[in-house]
Amino acid sequence: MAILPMDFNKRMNELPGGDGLGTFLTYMQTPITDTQRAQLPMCDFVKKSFKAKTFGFVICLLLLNVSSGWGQEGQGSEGVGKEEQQRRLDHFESKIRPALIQYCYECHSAAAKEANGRLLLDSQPAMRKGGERGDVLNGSVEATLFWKAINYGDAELQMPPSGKMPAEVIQAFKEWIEQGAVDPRKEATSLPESAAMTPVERAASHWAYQLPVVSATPKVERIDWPKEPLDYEILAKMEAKGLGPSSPADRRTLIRRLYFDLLGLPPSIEEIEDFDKDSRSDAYAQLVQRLLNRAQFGERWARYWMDIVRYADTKGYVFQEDREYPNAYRYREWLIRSINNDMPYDQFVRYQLAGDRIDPENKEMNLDAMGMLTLGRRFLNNQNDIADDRIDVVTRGLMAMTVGCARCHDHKFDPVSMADYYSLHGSFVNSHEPGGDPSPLRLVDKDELKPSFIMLRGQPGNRGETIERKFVRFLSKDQEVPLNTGSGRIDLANAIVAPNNPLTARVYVNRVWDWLMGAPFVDTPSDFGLRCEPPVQQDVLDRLAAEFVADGWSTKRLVQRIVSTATYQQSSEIREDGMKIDPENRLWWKANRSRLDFESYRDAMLAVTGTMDQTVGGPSVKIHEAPYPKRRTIYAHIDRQNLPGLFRSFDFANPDAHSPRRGITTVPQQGLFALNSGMVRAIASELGEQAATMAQEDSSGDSTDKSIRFLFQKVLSRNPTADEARLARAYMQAYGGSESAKSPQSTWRYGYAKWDAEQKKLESFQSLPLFADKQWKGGPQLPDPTLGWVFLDEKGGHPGGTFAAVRRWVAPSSGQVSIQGSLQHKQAEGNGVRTAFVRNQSQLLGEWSVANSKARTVVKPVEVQAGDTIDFVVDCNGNENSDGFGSTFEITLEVERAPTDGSSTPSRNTLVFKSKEHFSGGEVQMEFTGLAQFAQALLATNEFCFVD
Amino acid sequence: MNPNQMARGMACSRRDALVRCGMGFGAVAMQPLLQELAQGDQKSLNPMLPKAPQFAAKAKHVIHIFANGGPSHLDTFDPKPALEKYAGKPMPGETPRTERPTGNLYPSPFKFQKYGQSGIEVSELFRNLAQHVDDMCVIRSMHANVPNHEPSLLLMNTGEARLVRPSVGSWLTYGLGTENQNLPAFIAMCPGGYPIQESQNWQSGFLPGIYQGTYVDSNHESVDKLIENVVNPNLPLEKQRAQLDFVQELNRRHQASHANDPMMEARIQSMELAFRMQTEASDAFDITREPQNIRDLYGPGVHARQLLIARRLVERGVRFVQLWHGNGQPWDNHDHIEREHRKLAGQCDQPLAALLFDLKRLGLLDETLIIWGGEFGRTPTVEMPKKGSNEGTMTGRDHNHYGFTMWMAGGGVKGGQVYGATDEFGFKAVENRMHVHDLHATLLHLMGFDHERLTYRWAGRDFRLTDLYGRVIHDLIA
Repeated sequence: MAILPMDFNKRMNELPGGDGLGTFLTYMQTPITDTQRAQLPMCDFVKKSFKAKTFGFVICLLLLNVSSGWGQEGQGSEGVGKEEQQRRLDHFESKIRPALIQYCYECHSAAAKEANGRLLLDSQPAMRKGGERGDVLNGSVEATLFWKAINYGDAELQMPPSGKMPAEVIQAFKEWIEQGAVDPRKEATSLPESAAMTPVERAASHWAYQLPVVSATPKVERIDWPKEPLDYEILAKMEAKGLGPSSPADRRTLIRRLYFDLLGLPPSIEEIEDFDKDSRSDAYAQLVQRLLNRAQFGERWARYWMDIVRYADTKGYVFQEDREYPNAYRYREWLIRSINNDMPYDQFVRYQLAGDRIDPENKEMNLDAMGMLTLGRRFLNNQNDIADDRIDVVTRGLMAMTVGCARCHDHKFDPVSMADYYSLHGSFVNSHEPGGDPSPLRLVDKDELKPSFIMLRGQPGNRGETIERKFVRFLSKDQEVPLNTGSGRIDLANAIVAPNNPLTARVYVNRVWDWLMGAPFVDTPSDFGLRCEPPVQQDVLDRLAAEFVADGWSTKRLVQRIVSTATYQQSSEIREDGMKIDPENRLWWKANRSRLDFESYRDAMLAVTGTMDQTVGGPSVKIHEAPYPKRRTIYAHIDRQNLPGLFRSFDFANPDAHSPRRGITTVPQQGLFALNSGMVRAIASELGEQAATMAQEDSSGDSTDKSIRFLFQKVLSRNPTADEARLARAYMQAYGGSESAKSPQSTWRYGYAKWDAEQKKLESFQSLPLFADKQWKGGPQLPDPTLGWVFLDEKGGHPGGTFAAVRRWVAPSSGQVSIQGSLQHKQAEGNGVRTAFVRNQSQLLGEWSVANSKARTVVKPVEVQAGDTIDFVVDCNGNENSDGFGSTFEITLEVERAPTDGSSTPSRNTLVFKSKEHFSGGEVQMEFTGLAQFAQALLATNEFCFVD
Repeated sequence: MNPNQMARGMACSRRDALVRCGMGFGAVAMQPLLQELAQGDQKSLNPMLPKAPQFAAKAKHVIHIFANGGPSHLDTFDPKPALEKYAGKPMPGETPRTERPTGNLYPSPFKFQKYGQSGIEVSELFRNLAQHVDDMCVIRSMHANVPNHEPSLLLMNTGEARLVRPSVGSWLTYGLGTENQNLPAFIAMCPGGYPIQESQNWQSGFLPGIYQGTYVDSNHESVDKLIENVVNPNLPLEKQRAQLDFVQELNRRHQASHANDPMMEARIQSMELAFRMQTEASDAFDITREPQNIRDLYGPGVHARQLLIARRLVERGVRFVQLWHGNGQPWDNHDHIEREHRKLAGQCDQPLAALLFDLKRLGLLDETLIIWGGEFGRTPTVEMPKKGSNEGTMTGRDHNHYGFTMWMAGGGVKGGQVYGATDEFGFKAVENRMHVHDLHATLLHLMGFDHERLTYRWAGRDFRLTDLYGRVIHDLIA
């Protein structure tokens, strides 16, 4: 051991978390120079690959290596003189050994990460033995594989791959081989353990390929803490490290967490208070049950699945054809419905892969499930690429197997062969999309099935052997599963959810835990292959997986199990002892605080305005475009070709491929969205208007204080503290003035409201959600299911049966207003319309009714304050038939200006606002009141954006 | 680069927390350990913070000028006297297959002459740019895989012709982060729309979405049309500052009741970054802030504007700027190549020359790698007329992926040299052939990365820009 430097132990101890073996190996194998040593890889894998149990073995090996000494006679030197022998040895030591170390050992030594091609070049016996391609030094120089590789003679085999070695080095190798490849490195080296066995051999003992089993719950000290069996397992691991669980989260925190986790929406202040006061022992369990039964559960959870299956509404790049998948939304509807009905997961999977075989006539409405396969990128209709995309979604998404790696060669790390890949490929290319009824999303088996064959190096023209289509072979080695019922997709589906498949339930349960707990057990949720080490809590993962299957694959039951644990219900506050011992929270000593994901963030903003469109299902909408539809974010139209920047900025899943889990980044583009985007400004304006209306309707108390309180309640679901109220008041007083926009267009709003014709009062004004076809209206189709026939255009509009159509003008400054206009109702049918001008929703300025007649609409001068509203209300007079009306008017505002430049008389300024000429669609240049600015600030707070 | 560490950083790991440091306001009253953790994680949460390359880099920034459509090397940077000699005659030997049928040899209508100390020949189309030929490395032996736009664009930008892979700019921002947090790290400018394959050309593929190029339609002049959400039209900046101060006051109070959490700290910081980005981006894109003599140097038009903006961006630390000539495929001159190439080169010759001069003047050329070229070149043989497209004309050239020219300048490139050569007629690269993968490997090398070690683990594999290919061409490097 003389070669061990003095500082060996010190260096070993410095290695973070490792046993220092990497350093050891490096020292042992390079009795050369420091420079050369530095060139050797000192990789983490070495430490990982050589766990304690192999330590002894490696030591022995290395000792042998050392004791063998250096400079022994090499082979091939028989028959030459001693001098020549020495010269050849010198040649090896001076030219060959350094070059091997410098250019080859990184991949071809016992210490390498993966012995590529199972070839070692770090000892004479290993080098003589050769690798996967056989002997490397056999024959005349030019014929040896070694020479071919280093001379770059074969485009397929060029070593080192980073670039040809210098000519003099290549020449030195040539000379060396010619002279018998003298090599004193006699002691055999062996492939690293990872490479010594084939992947299939190693798979036999890989944790993820064994069926999950439930173990007995371990003993714990804090016996009062666990609520569910898995809590014992979590707690035992914590206690073993000297950690305890965190205290339970308070009720307000808990209900907010549960709402976001289950529904993706915030609870209202009332819901929080009800739960806070609910003293029944099963209040929490009841709450969980209520939330699981709400339709929004399906909306939240379908979106998770859409990440798995790379959902999009477009095909990607195409030449001429239509880029849209107009029916993609039907798949989304199927997901929401199935999740809300708690369809067993095994069935859920089977429908998505082979609905055509299970529900061919679409009697159970399950054919749309096949959108999972058919909604991928189209790769200019390259069938092999389309199949590849489907193989990837299915194998990584459902079984965390990276089968796609076997397209060009057998999987390098996992027990997956090209035959496995081309079996699945064969199933997909033997399926086609017939289009049309009963589902445009379905896939069916082709009438004429083609035999499947391997494509060498993944090239279609390079035909290899014909194969029988079978399910991934190593997973079914006791009894291979042929994929031969038609294309074999149904067999594939059945094999994936078969009771002896060790992956499917585990993979899904790991994801569900991640979605609820903010981190998975297995860090690589879509790769449970041989390189994936067992998770710390494999016992919990296995328990959940086994129970999940035993429960009949019920997702809702699984969710309920997890949220019922003491583990889930912990506080998310950081504790110093926890951070010291387990900063990554692998032991679950606290809950994970999470930032709202994109969907929850946008949905929460819509939800707090109270104007979110709650319709479940329906076609996709472009949420990023004005006038910013109020649909939940799951209904966003996803263009995978040109995904809007907004989605990317907020870590949205890449819609081009299966997404194992979303990243969580914090970048300034998110801040720009919160500060400036039209979408947030529109929501803030809406809230500001609501606060103003509320303050107007309730005459008691100070209106600023009331508005502040109102907005805290709405946005943060709580009242401000005294300190916050003071702060808010100070802000409002200093900066809360209205920022009126410049254009006359910006003074107009287009909405609907209830009109109380007796009291002459307008109630709950709301902006019309959609501008399309030059009209503001309730939805793309008239009549809209909720708002009926209400619409407004530049020349008039139509009231609804329930709601009046309201054209609102907001005074940009104080002054005197007068109105002149005309009104007409031209149809002989129906009973005509009633109209009125109203100031601030309750001061009637004039009324007119028309039925197949005309009227002049004139309002005499009236004083207004900046921010006052003047509404032109049109109501159906009890019958909405044939109520189309024409109306145009001008509002004249006389503004008195303070005297300027020393003159003593104030100047007058006349502004004219025209209902027709200043009509606008799209993003309305809104007035941004102080209250809107305040609401926007609340929406931008950490409190709003995080879930504790 | 360790892909797993990178990936975990993205997923807000605290693993590296103890060895990093940063600043955050909520940290005042905290336990020292928690404070350290909080500050550390803020950094790991921002994927754009500058990171060191694997070895000393020659270049820090890239400006990639994409002459989309496929400019003709034979009419610009690769003179072929043999075309004169055999004008109108069939090319000896077999004419390689390209997208469409081509006929006899078609000489260049443009005159070439030698420029600079190096005496490199450049056609009259780029007579202004040619004044800087001693700074340019002209690669005449580029080759790609197929003669079609879509796969060739993707190959040039992502190293893969069909599948979804990250673009060069995404790889570089993933590897290096960016020096100026107030601006996007990777900007793709195209006047008037998209090139074909659209934003796939600057896609982040399987890398996190934030590494995608930020698209800018450089036809616009006002900054709010250039960068999404960069202006609040309802709120002047002073009032927005007050609004943000109020938000941060509320955040401070919120923090007080929660043990410090790095994610919340990070968000507080990023709101400040966002605020600063508004002014910084407005400034960077506003070329009216340049002195008149500099604007005159670049000349009029959108190409002048976007090249000047590119300079202002790299000056401010933007990592990767890609400039496209226009939407669609402007350089794709299947016919009327004389007229069209003259027009296109006329739009960019002067501003390209100005860019090189200007970067040099500011001392930025050494650290900025300029790359110019298309997705392929064009045939020396004339394209045959075809019903429905170029019917009745024989005035253009077809796509040619067998051999074409690109040039690089600055950023550690050895200027004043020609690398490689095409055959006598300019059809195929024959000498020192350089594949697109080799260009990528060399580019990464100049930026301080071993192209085999800049990897990202995805779908079970460690992916890299050059897939299984690519050689660093050391001859190009100064």
